[in-house]
Amino acid sequence: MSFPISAALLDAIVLSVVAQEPEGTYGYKITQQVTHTLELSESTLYPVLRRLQKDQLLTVYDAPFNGRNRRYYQITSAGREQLAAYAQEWSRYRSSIDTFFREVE
Amino acid sequence: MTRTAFLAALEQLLAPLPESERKDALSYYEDYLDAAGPENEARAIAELGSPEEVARKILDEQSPQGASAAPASPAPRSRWRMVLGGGLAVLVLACFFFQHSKATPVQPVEPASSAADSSSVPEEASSSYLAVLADTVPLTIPADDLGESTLQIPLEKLDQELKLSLNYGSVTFVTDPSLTSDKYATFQFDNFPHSPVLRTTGGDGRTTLTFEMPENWQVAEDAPEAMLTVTIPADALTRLLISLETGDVRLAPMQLKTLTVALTNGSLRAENLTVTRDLLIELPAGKCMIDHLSIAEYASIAATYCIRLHLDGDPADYTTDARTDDVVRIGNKEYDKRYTSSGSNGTLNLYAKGLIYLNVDEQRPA
Repeated sequence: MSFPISAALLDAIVLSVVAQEPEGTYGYKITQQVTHTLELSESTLYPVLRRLQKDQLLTVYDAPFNGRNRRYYQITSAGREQLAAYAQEWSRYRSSIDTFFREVE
Repeated sequence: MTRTAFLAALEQLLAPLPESERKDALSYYEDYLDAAGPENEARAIAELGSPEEVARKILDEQSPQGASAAPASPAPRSRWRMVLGGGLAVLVLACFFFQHSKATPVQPVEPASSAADSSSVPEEASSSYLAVLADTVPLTIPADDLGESTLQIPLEKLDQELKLSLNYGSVTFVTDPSLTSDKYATFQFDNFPHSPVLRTTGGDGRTTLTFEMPENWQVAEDAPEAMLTVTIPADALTRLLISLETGDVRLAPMQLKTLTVALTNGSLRAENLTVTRDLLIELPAGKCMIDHLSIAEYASIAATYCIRLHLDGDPADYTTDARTDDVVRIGNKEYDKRYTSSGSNGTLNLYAKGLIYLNVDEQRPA
């Protein structure tokens, strides 16, 4: 049994994963971290990262790794603000949904 | 699939995209497979899925209507009809939100039990209304903003258990065979506010429908009565649980293994009810009238006002403990405050502040 994850929630999750690495992190690692916890297809993350980048909530830079450039994602200050807003909204949403389950035995 | 084949297929599938977008995606997936490392490459490619799937997700995101993130599209305001047979775990069936904002939750008013006569009360006494905490202004839903909706659920999704949990409205079960499909149970919501009905379906024949009045809303006083009408074959359910905060429950003739009815402010009426295992009824501000009740094992009924039952057979044949602040009348005999018996027909525990009538009408001259 699983609940669908909305795009907004996915944005929030990805923002928070990227925010944990102030120096930046990369696509494969982000994907592993998210799919470790959530049942989600690995190919779901690229469109999310691309969208967040276009919205300037994430920024990217390339840095060499093992003789090749690797793309790193870093959260922007707008991204942090958005993440804080998402966290607040999530907590509101969670408590409103929780009201349905208050009396579930 | 090899890395080269995967990336080549992806490049081809992304042809509709502008070059910069296509290059960005390809370089992301090259990076991705580099980071996975040669030893994990095959697994990483398999986990990503087919190039078609990967490409579809990217193309969906690019197309304007693709984003599943978009807020729910505007829905028809007053009527919505759905036939859902899928196995989705949770569906928010209809999310029609008014433009109002939120504040403190609506609180059901405590039943005016101090004022209530402990003997039987008139019908209207069990009706109730919603009020809100004093420091909030309720947002009244006008009567003409109430809608109807119909939901059909395949019977196999609820043959083990059906649970209805509503903090607004009454529930009526209809088992008229001429109205009943043998494949679906029909749930007709009339005069409910357009807020989500949450449906939870396990794969194991258990379904829960939950309706919660949005925070700080109340329904206009002249609003017609909200009623959920469930049309279902009489023997389709095994366990039925109904929990309501404001409304009454009326049950058509039906056979169940377990029935639980808990109504914060309402009353229960039923006829030709057969419960083979457990019957639990709690009506802290209501009364219980069951025209013909057949139990095999255990029944417990607590009602504040009165209990009127027509049992299958003589109450003395059950292990009965009936307690009241008033009298227990069985046939034409009256017992003050309490009646007990020990029989082999099952256990029957009754508690009421008001009168308890057992099989009274049967004793009347025809």
